Amino acid sequence: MIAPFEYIEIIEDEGFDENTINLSIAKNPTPKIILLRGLIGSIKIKHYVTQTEFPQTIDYVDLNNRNTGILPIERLRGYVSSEISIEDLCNIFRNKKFLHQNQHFFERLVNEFSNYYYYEFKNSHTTAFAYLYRILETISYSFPLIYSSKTDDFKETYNFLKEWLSGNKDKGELGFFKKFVKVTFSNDPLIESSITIDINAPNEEIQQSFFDSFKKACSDESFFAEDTEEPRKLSVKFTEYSSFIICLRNRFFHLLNSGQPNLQSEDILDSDHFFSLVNKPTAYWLSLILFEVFKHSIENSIDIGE
Amino acid sequence: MSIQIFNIAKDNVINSYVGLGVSNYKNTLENVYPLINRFDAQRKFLDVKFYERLERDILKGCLMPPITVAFVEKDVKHASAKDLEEYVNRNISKGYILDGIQRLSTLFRASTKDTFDNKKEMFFNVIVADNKDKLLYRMITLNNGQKGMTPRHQIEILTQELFDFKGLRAKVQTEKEKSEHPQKDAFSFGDISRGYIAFLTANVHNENSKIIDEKMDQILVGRILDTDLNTYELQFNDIINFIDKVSVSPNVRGWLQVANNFIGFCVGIRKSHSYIFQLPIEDIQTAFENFEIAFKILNVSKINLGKYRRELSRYYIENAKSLFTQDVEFLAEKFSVETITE
Repeated sequence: MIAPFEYIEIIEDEGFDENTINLSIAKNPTPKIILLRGLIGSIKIKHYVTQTEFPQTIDYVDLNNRNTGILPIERLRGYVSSEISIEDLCNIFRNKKFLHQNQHFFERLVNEFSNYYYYEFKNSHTTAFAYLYRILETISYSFPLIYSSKTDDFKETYNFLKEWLSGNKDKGELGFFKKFVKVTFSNDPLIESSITIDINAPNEEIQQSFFDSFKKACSDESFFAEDTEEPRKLSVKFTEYSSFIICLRNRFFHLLNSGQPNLQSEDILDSDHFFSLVNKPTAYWLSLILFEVFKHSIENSIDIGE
Repeated sequence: MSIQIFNIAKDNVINSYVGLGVSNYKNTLENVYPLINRFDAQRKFLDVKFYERLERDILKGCLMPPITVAFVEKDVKHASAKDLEEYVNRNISKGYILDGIQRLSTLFRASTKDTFDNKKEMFFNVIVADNKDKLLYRMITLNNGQKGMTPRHQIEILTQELFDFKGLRAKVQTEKEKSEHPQKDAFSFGDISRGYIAFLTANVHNENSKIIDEKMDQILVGRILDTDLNTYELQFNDIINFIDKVSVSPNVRGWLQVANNFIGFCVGIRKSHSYIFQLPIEDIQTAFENFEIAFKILNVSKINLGKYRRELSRYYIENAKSLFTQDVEFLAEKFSVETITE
């Protein structure tokens, strides 16, 4: 089978020592390592069909570039846990059982992310958003296991799994994600935080129009945090972020639901521009969730997935 | 009661007369509050949490920072405070609120509550300028100078300024001092500051490197606003003094010098200080030793070690009265229940 992407190490050999060499894509090209190295923006990717080679150098956990200048492996350590050393981190990835568990699940994620990076790189932001959505659906395979381990209430777990397994997505999806996020991030300041979408546009009229489109797609005011500043920035509560992107997907990609305020073509002046505004913050949000998934699987040394 | 003006001076930059005065809430609501819609350039942003807190504080009788009321008058000449006072009260309906719109609407909301006291003093700044541009200039310079210091920065400065570490037996060193002239047994200033934040927010989880600073600051301010100031029977200084006292025991000091223990301690002690402060030092030492043994039995993963330490030390200190006398097995069981059920 042809692999759609090829992964290339960008750190020189001398940049690794006997410990960190485990995190090298050249030496240890396992899906988990490729995924993490991709998220923190230290990888080069080759798209097979077009033979395009492009660097992925955006650190999605640090969109404000606070950690610029800190070496990638050191950044990665901090994101996994501030309590561990680089040696600890490398030991985690030296553990073969951990490294290869749920290989297939992580392979899929790596693929979806690579597609996202590729279409972002090509400035095809609408397509890139579709992949972010696919990532969300993929990650959610890991939710039931994590959820059950975080709560000790059988009834809660049972209801959660019932909703999940019944496949009644239209009804359960929103509440399901929200519940997951609340349980997984309980006690973390993130739960009180918000994610800001900066509405960059060529002029104020267009800016206002984009702002209105977001509000039209997601009319529920309770999604938005207090630091929203019309029309310059839209701030979405961390706990409501899943609802927000599910809304965007439904209103833009599904035009079926009658009576719902779907986004018509005239509402979105330029869909690639529109989605370019949400994609990075959404990838940031997904990275935060993914790091929790990782931490959970490290903590339990047993893994998640299919 | 009208507005009384006590002082007057001239602002040569905006060529205006400025006065300082006082009135009460009743007059403010009757004559000044209606002006809030007059000035077009008013601020839209409203931090709900902050003003909810202010509303509660008003009902408890806090004194608000002065409201700035401005007037535009072509040929102004005010020789004395008395002069200005007469002018202000005669022309109050033509005034503009330059600073304090949010405070006035909060005052109005508070005034609808039963416990509101309408005789409380209200201080004023009064400005009489000869045109609107000059007012706008002053408003812009007034509102934009106050930005900048983050709550964390403020707390760090306060920690350094307010507490007299020099008078203590235990030494406190900043990171810089530690690297230059490390002193054995010294507390880290950074840890004390983190403990202070935990104390003020009544929360042990105030850090996450994945949250951007701006958002983290909003969260901290929100938490401090939510913590009720009036229930502070305990001051942070009491904690510092207690720690200094018990630091004669190297084991107790060692336990408290683990940052995560200290953070949990600073939150937990809010509920148990009357019990813990009177314990003999030997009991405290035993209690801390038991904590360590029970914590080891838990065998938590390294990646979450700090988190559990903060949570469990908080839990342990908070419930000191019922837990300090228990044996290690019992504690370990309690701890494991605590870590599952969150």
